[in-house]
Amino acid sequence: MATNPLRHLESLSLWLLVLATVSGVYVFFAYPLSPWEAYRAVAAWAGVNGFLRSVHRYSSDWLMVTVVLHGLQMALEGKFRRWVEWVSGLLLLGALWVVGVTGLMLVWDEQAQLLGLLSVRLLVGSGLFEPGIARIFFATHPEALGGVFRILLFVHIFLTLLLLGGIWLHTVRLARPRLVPPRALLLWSTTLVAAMALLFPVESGQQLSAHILPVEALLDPWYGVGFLLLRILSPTMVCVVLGVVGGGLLLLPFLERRRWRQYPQIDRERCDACQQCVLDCPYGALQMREWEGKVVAELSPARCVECGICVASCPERGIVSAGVPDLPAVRPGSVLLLLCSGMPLPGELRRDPFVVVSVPCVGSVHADGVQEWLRHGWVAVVHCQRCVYRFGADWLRLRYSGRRRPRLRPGQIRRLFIAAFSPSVWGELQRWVQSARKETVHGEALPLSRE
Amino acid sequence: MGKRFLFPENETAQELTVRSWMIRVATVLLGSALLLCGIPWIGKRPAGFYGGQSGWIVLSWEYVPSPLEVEESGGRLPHMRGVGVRIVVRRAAVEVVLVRGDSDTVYTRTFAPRGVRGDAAVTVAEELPVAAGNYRVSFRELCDSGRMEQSPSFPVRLGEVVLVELAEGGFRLKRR
Repeated sequence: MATNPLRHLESLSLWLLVLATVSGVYVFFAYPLSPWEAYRAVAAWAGVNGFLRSVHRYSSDWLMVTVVLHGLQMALEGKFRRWVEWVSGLLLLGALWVVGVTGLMLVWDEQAQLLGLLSVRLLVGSGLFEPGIARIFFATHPEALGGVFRILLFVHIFLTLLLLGGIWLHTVRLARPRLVPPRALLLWSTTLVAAMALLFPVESGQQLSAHILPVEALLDPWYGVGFLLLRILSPTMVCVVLGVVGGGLLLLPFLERRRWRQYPQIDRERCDACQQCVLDCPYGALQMREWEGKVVAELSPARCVECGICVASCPERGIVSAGVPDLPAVRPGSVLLLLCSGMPLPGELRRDPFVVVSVPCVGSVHADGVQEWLRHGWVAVVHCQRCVYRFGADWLRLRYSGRRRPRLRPGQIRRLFIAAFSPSVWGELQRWVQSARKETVHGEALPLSRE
Repeated sequence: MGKRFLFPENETAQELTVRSWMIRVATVLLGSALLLCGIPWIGKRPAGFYGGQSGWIVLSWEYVPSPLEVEESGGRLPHMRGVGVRIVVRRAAVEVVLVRGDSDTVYTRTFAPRGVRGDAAVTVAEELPVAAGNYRVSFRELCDSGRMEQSPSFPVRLGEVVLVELAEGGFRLKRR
């Protein structure tokens, strides 16, 4: 599951953007800088030009899908609280949409005209432009269209460059951002885009004509979906809806912020400046600062998402958080079941011998507490398939297998079950518990810790 | 125990692994096929914005109305207009009326000339959803002895778009 595209939407999006940009640069050199020649030239593209035009289009289409899914994923995981990433992400989405729409218009076919007319309806509906601008797409003036052509080409290229710069802002506050997808995913997505381009080459519609309005034209829904609202609402209402939804999304981090205050507390006296918390924090929220003559860790609340991973990263147990409860007292013979919050748990696992502890991220459970439990019972950990807090599951596995500080001491590691959530995980867990308890009686080794 | 889980209790770990791999391979193949066909197919769906429950009349033209006020240029600097050149200060507004049948006015609007002083051209660009029927478009400048034009009656059917333009010799109609 390490190559599940839904777990790598951000890096997959970046890769698709690279594909779209590289193919876009190539087709730009084959693209005549005149609206009257552009249609004929683009429609006639075949061979490498045609293939790369299709790659450009399909990678852009797929990019919109992955970007929207990435945004939804972040919203559902509560990541909108990090306002810089959230706001920059929404602005990037808006810029991507404009880049896509202007790109479709540069083909100068029926779809371009339809998109032009619909864009004008929205611009007029917003009250910022007068209705006369619609004549650009009704009129036959080459001069008028030539001006629009240059503006669209400029916006398409300039916003693409801005996108690349915006991604830096979007990721600059992340520790170790994953910018490149796993190799298998990279190959898979590239092959798929190439296959789309070969099997379904993109074709132009009828030539844009002021004499024939596009009564029914193709409309790329990946970028044209916003325009479909115009079929049921007036342009002004669409602008109001888009404004309210967009504004609400932009304000989301600021509206929610007030009741989101359970930042970890750092005991500076205990801090021995080992920097493990700085290394472990997935969001770069911890830095080392000088305090009363020594160097200690300090939290930057603006970056903190309260995952609690730093709580488990401190070998001195110098970080506590109200969001990460202490483990319950050890009950000999019981199974401590550690879960990331929000996991659906069957009823039979809520009863004896299970003691269930749900935390924001299992990566926040300190190895010392787990060590205590392992002496007298068993510990089972079920983490999210795609760690909501990026590195929680990775750090947990490394710590509990003794490869990252603070380590679990070897000895009872066989009494430990670690698995990513899946529909079958609870069955596996119950089988493991049955065999573990049975085999302990016979003094045999206990198995099973799967990726 | 086995009831609520995907795999029956008596399967071995090896069987589970094989089944798990089959599911993964099937998921990858199905997902790839969906993307491979879905993205191009959805991108080729036509969408209509002018059809359906009404016909459409699109009015589109630019017109420079008659001057209402003219002044003589008094600039003396070399980069300015020469002395005595007549400059239009203000132009007439124009009125556009759309009539259904003989006398049912469905649209009327006065267009003022553009520009800060109101001395530039008038731009008419309107998309009007209309019921099926016969229509006439008329145009007149709101000044003494201003130009007036009236189109002949033309039919509009549901789902049809008629583009109306004003040219030198009068109205021109284009259909689709």
